[in-house]
Amino acid sequence: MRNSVIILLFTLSLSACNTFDLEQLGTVSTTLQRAFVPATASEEQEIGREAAAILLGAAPLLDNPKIQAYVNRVGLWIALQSERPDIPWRFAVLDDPDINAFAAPGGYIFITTGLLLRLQNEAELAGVLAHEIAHVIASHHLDAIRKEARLSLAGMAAGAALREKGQDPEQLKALAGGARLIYSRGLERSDEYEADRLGVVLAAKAGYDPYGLVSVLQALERMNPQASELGLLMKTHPRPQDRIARLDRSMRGPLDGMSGFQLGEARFRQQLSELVGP
Amino acid sequence: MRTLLLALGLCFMATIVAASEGGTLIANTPLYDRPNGEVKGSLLANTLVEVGERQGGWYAVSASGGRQGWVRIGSVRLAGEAESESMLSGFLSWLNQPRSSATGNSTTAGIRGLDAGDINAAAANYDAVERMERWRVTPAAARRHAEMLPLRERSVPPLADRK
Repeated sequence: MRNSVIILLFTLSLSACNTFDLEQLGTVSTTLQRAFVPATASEEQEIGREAAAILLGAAPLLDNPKIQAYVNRVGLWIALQSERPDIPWRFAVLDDPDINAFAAPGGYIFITTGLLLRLQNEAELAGVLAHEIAHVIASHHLDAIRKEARLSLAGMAAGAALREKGQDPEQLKALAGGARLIYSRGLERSDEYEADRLGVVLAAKAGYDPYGLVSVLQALERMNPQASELGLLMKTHPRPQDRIARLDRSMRGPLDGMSGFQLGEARFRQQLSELVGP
Repeated sequence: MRTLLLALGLCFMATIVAASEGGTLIANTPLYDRPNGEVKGSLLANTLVEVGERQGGWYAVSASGGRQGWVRIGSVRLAGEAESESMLSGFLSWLNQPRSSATGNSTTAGIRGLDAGDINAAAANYDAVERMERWRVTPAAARRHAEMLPLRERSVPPLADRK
């Protein structure tokens, strides 16, 4: 609360030449205050829907219900092992050749066909989905989008926003802007490393080979880092070799004595034959 | 159709890569007699190795002079796709045609795929968000899916951050 007032006052002080209507100022101030308190479950869903809509405005859904349902079954089984099994988890394949995966608050998870087609087995798919699920569990995007929205709303308070009375459209606009920025710029690197560790544990809890994510990262590492389909992933994530090194150090010991994990290679190939043929 | 062509190109490339599996050690590395076993020697950084089977976090490797054993997965950098990359580039440039999505929601130019510009320019597509709901599955369906493999729920400790 104190921060919101400071930001608002600071912003206003930079814009002393503007004339403010006190009632309008109160409206924006209320919007700012709402942006600073922890998000409720329904607000998280609203922010997630907005962020998911931005992603789906940039890349279409793969028009293949069987593959979509398969990815949903794998993803939900992993999410059921998490601290938030009851949120409405939704998984989708984006029909895009880029190699990437995304999460949005409230349980929206996406993987591109470019990445899906490079995977070798279900454990690798689980590793990717578990990393994204971990972002949702740890509220990485939720916190980052709300932070950007706060800054945007503070900026609006100094200018055009005050000419409109409705606070929800401005808040939605600010959230959409925050989502665009976070997906194009990426999260904090520490968030990615944390999602790697949390995701590995989730995949292992679900019975998948916990090294599925490391295998995916090694496949990315061996690609030309200048490859066009890696562009956004490389811009928004730490280098694959750095992620592999940190995961290897963290996983050594706790997971070495465990066995009985599954790769799910045959089922993965059978399901993906929907895309590539038998 | 585009997805099928892309898949065929990737399969073609995977075949090339699989035929020349190799790797390089990224640091001086202990060589073990088996996963989690005893150290039986060491290999220097930048040693070229033939990479074989993976067991958990371990790769079986062999180096020149008959040196064979197991190393940690993070010790090895697998050989790159440089050779096949140029072939893939040719394949991708052939595919590099403006396209319309199968679902008709958005158009993305070329094979380059999703980038920051696309996201910054994207208009929110709420219809597609609603379509995602159709593919949601129930927890019971997810459990049946797990039982069929079978996947067994495990107790796994959290991992410490080791920078």
